[in-house]
Amino acid sequence: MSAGRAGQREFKPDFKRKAALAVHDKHLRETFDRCTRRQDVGRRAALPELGDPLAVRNLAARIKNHTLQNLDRYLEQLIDNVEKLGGQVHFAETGEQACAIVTDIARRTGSKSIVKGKSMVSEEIELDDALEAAGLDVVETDLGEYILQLSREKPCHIVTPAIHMTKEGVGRLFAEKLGIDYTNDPESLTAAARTVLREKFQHADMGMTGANFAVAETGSICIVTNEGNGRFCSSRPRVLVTMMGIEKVIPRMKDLSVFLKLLSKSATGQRMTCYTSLINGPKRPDDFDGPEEFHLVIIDKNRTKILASDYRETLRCIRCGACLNACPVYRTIGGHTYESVYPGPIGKLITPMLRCLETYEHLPQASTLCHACFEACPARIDTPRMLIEMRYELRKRGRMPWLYRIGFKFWRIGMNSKFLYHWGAKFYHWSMDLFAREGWHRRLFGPAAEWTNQRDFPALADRPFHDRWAKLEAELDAMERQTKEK
Amino acid sequence: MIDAGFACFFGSELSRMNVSLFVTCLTDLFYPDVAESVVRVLSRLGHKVDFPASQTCCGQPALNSGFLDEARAIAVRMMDVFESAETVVTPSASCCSIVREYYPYLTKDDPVLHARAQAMADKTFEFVEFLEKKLQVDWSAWNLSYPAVATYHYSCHNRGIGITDEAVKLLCKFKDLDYRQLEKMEQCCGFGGTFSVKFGDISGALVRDKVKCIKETGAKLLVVNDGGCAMNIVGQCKREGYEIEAKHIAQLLDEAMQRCEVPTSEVCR
Amino acid sequence: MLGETRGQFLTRVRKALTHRGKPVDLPADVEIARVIRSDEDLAQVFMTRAEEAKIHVYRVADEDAMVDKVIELLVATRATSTMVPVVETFPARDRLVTRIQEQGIVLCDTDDPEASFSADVGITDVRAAIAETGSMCIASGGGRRRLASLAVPCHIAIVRAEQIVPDLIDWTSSLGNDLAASEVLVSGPSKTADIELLLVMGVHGPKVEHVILIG
Repeated sequence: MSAGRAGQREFKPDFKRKAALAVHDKHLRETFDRCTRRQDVGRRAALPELGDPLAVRNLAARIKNHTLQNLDRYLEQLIDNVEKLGGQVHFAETGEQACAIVTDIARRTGSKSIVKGKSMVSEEIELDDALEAAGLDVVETDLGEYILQLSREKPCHIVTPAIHMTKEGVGRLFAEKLGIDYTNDPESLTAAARTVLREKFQHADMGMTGANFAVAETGSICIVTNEGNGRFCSSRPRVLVTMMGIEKVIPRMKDLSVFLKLLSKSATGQRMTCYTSLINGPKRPDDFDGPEEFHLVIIDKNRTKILASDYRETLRCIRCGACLNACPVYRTIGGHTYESVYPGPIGKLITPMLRCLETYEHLPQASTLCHACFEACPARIDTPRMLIEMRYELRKRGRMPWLYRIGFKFWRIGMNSKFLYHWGAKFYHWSMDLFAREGWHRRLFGPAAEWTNQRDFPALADRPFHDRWAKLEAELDAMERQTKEK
Repeated sequence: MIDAGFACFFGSELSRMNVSLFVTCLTDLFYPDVAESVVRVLSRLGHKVDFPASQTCCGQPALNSGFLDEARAIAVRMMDVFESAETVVTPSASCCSIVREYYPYLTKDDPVLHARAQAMADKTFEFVEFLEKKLQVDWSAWNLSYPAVATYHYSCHNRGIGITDEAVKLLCKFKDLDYRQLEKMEQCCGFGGTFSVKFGDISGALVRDKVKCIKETGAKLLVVNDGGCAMNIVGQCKREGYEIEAKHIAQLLDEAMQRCEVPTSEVCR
Repeated sequence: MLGETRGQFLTRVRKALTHRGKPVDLPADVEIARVIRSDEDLAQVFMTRAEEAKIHVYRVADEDAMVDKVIELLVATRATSTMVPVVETFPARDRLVTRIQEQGIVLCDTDDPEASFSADVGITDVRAAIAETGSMCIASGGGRRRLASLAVPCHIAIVRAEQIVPDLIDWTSSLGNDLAASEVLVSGPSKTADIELLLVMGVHGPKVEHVILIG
């Protein structure tokens, strides 16, 4: 499965090198540590309000599981209801098709300027590039995304995409791109963006949004924002285009309430985001404002592949970012190191699935399996288990290094035999540990050098427990006899 | 050495459990003192401990690296070794979570093996979990004392088995123990098995961060209940030339119980 | 044909579900997620939570007091122009409009689509309010101007106590079958933390939110 458009060079991630750079980037480390922990703490503080947060999360998982296994039915219901509300539904298997559909809608409606709300799926399909190539003026209206559009960078976090930038960096960027005087004051910078974007809102022909949820029962699209840009995009321009992956469907309005209760609490610790918008088709005849046309573009782009696979439960993801905020690896290397639209734990699973497992084979392996993501996930996605499964998949495809393949064969033989285990350990201790000083190795060789590049490695104990047991047992027996005699 | 503190052998025959020790390969080979302490603590609490000598490894290194076939083979062997055990206790949360979460998973294709795996999962406990949730030991009679300035690292796999703050609460029962909360206590130390050699830069950054937090507590004793975490964190301390003692909570309990001067009849329940 | 047909698309989805898995049924209700019950003091819960979300709430006894309060807020804001509601069902609408004119505050031309962009204040009614989240539910329809609660720097919403539902679960059932083209839950003034997680109020939506609660 190749990524991106035809003719694009084959992309080769450079994860290890980027990680090594990230690890030594003091600003990056401090920023991600601070931001992720703040949001993680927020989540923990906010969720108990739900009474039994675990039960609510299990409910959310159940609703999603049911929906995913009946996705065809719920998509049909959604499509019918969107059309009943006066909307038009389009279907894209690939990112290219989706881009072509949106470009065509713009052309047919005579739309030249587009204001766009945050949409992860549109990042996936590189929609902005396609629209700009077609000569359209697209502006990202979420502040973080707007900053990234100006700096031509990718998002580093699902929810707060530009936290890798300092306020000084944003100040310099705005001074250069917007022609304002340099300032590092967030209020002034936001005001500058507001001025630009407000003018865009007022005159744009087309608005675009993503979808946090799509309610099959009514044909409603639900988007959540804090800034108000989503409301503008969906209310002011005469054409509205919403893009969604197939997994955004939920069955009923009441199910929406469950996810809304979980989403922003899990993301940042907010009880609710400032604005929760329901888009129910285009404007009605007696409405004063609202879009005249509403288009829903439903995108597959390998999601059906995930649906059919053992990784179906990753489609439960509501893109809250809680797993990113909890993940020690993400916290250390930041989002850009993943070189994917979706970083962090969920990204380690879906990036190989949405793109190519071989290209991104390092991602499922770059985890300590600490379970922090599973603990944080409002949809109870068992990421650690699936990471192990994906590693097994790589092993079956022969993608594991030969050293590991041979190593584990020997390991299995050794661990299958008490004799080999005991004597193998003795042999190791008598040979290797000769080189230890005061019980520690400062330098090991081969792949083990990776350990000692960072820290010391202990020598084995002189007498392992299995050699001590006989004596210990005898002492326990003696004590028992002694005590009974008393 | 063991002293005459085995009061409970006599007193609590009715609640005496037969416990099989699942030592784990790391503890067996690197930290056998921890295993000795586990055995002595459980014995002093009145339980009969045995050690199935054929045990080797739970299979975690292979499982976590994606070598599921090899892991399954070793898991089945472990199930054989502990087949007749009534209760299994291990000092390692990670090994316990492998048994509980993954032995049933690894054998899901075979109903007979799966049932055996589930049976083993049901009877296997991590040491702190066993003391605090299963036995619900009343420590007040033991007058636990351990003078030290200590901090505690929460090993990740406690998440998989439902342990939250039990170890901290237990630590706070030691009088004279000055407990200092570790900042980012729950953040992974960066070990992750083969992760530590596959992604050395990230692993190193995480363990350095952990040691930085430990230094900030001023603690001279690190209580860490997992062999992998211990070798990782202490290895880093060694590299930085930072003097710290690392112990499993079993060792604190063992030493404290040895010093206990409460008479026999009062300790037995 | 730029994309796929509905049939092609759904066929592929159906094919991916050849093995749907062990059936998981949809729970009949979601009550386990309920936070606020109907027997609680809904007005009090609403006020507390709205204030927590930085919405200023003023409780008044009746429509006359509401009008007084609106004028008070307009004066305090030093508003020179305001959007007023067009719906006839708006409480005490005529009295309110008269009083605003008496203050010398300009009534924006609500038929002008650009009016909200230059108004100092927008005054709107709400379809409902939610105690659990301190939210006001603003629906389109009936000639309402969506931008009157969005493009203005200061928004004043009039809520009747009877309009408050306990929980988000109740909000979803309050929507009924006849959905407006747009419904927005406003749960605070516009804000962002996209720059270094530093909070800035008033991005695109109103910087200040007031709720006058009647009853």
